[in-house]
Amino acid sequence: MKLLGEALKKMVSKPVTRKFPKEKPVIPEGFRGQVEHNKETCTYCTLCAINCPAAAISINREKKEWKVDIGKCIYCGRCEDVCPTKPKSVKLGKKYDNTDYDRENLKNRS
Amino acid sequence: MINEVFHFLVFPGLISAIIFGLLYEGILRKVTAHMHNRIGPPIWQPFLDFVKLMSKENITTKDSFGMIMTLAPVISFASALTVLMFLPVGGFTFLSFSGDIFIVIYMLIMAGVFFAVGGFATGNPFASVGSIREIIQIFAIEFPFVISMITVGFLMNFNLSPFFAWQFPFALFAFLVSLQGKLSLPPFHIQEAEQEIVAGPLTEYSGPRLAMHELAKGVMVWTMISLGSVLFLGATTILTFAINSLLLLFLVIVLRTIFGRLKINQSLRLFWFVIGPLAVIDLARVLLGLYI
Amino acid sequence: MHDFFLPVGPQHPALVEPVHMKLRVEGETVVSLDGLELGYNHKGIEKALENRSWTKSVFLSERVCGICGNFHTSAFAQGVERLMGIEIPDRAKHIRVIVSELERIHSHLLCLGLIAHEMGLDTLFHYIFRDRETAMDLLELLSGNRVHFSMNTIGGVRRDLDTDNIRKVEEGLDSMEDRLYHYIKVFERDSSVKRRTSKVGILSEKLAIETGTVGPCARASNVNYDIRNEDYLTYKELKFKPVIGDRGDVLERNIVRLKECVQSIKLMRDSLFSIPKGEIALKLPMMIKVGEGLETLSHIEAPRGELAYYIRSAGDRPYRVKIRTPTYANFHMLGNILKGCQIADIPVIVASMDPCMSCTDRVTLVNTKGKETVLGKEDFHHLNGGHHD
Repeated sequence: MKLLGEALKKMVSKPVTRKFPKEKPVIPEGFRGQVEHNKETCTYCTLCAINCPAAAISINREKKEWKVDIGKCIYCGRCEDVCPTKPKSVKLGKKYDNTDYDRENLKNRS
Repeated sequence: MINEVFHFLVFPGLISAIIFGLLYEGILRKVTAHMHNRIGPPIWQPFLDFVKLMSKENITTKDSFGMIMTLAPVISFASALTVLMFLPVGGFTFLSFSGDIFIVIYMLIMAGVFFAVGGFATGNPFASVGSIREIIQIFAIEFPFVISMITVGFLMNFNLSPFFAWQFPFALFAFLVSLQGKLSLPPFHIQEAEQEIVAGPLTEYSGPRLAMHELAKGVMVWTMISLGSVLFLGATTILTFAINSLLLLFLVIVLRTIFGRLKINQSLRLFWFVIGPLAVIDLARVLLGLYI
Repeated sequence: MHDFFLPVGPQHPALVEPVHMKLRVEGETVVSLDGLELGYNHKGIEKALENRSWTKSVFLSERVCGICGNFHTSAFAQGVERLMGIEIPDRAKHIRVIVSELERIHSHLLCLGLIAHEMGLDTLFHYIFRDRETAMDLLELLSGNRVHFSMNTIGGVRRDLDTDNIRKVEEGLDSMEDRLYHYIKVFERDSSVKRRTSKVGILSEKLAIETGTVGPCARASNVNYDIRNEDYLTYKELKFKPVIGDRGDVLERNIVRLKECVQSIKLMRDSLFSIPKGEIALKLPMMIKVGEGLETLSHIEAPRGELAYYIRSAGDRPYRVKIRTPTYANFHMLGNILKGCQIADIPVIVASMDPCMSCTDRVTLVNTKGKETVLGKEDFHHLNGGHHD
């Protein structure tokens, strides 16, 4: 019977759940979302590719290609930690819905 | 004649039982969700569930009796509908004679028994445990339920008619608790305990058989709440019938939200040693003539 | 009377994660636990850890469990730091304690919500999960993710706390504390809850010590075993005292868990108050090298009990890592406390043991001839004290 008071009060108050995907959540600062790469400041030193625990980043130095497989990425942020440029060329942004219907489309994002 | 047929087929008979019964279930889920601080499904969700289930296939395992599994919810549905023949709403009733309260009691027991029979007909150990529990529940709930019905029926020569049981509060209390038990709602949702025995008797049901069971459950909700609002809360016109039904529905929802599940031996003990004797007190009062 | 076998799992609505229990049942009473099968969630992490360098292994060891991931990285990093002979800065120790205690709160609330769900009280389940969201939002603020925080690294932590976050954390802690006191009242006095948890699944003190139970299950049976009593991180200067109960039934375990949540809030407040300024991690080279052949055993107090990591080094990567999770230690008492209970009590008792199969399933034995065997039914049979046919 201890739950009776709260049950009656909550019946007439606003629900705490939201109707996703019509209403989107608020993402705080510092959220670890999808990897973003800045082509202008990158020096292609390949430190991010060597240090990635999941081996998700592949770099081709001669052709200046930088690709990430977001199916393998574990969103740890180690690539951002070891990037030597200022401002950092590899950052974790705020994009959280990194899904697709086909696994091939998750590879080779740049 | 037209009035009686309308009573049997449309209101509160077949069509109303299906539509309003499923609607009561939808309201139950929606209000419970708001008590839980969440949004919940829309009110017409049971209709969508029924349509979806009818489009799936019947899977019959090799250890079960498919014919009995199909017929059991149909018989439950039919028994619950038969009660509505005798229920007077707005002054009309399809059939009415002295002693029809006993037919009502018998039909309601049949609805429960055939639910258990459907469970026994599947070859699943979880379903056996669930059906055994259903039989024990029937055994437990019928004692206070029958006593309270007889207490009230005695005053009208066992002919079902509107009666306001304000001077028999124990009988009213016994009826309300048995109502919660007959509808298999918390704290008495023991036979379909999904945490313990998967789905109880319904473990192997799927497709149209499960849709038929959902329909039977909806009709049972409508029947029991209508019975309570006429026989114990005395509804004579359609307006008072609606108000009483909604009050009973609200009480059922509040009780459903705040209680956890009982174990089967605790349920038996509660109905036989606590609720039953209270109902017997009021029966004794009626038999000895100690009322206004 | 006729008895039959009730197969609980691997797919069952009561169990969160797959485990197979063969119970012999007479009517509604459980006679014995005749077989226990684990291994449905085996991921091969112990083998995969042998191929990765030390820094990358920290991230992999976090993925052993979703609920207590931060504790796995803590234990692993602590072991490696002990092998290298280094000590992390004080600010890093405080931040590790803060994140660990916050994770302990969210793990205990999850367990309590599941126990409420197993009792049929869905209302309490939804209320507890709504209040757990406060802890999850704070963790998202501090580390950027709701599970798998990746806060720890060898030599310290990776992210710092700033004053804005500290203020929000303190507000969150205040609101959670009120709700926790309310839940202690509900779990102790609500008649519906008491009927299902009081005198159910009693574990005596003697049996708890004999079968090697750890965590809140042991502390609710009057066994004073908490690794935080030993001096690691900052628990000595925070004056930690464990929460002990003496009845040994499901009700006592719930209360012990709730009181531990309240104690975690106090530990966090003290840590936030006394956190020193300074570095958050030691400057270590990118490829860490540890002496070859060195081995250590590092153990910490995860929410479910004692978590032990045995690490043996092969230079720049681990040679062998063996993880002993608390749920694996707690399974041995399950056969004994399930005897004589009703079918209706099975989900409540199993949920009160707080099983986390994701942590548990790594029971591979390798004998000297190089063959691999998996601990099977007979071994658990024997360990459980269940009777043979």
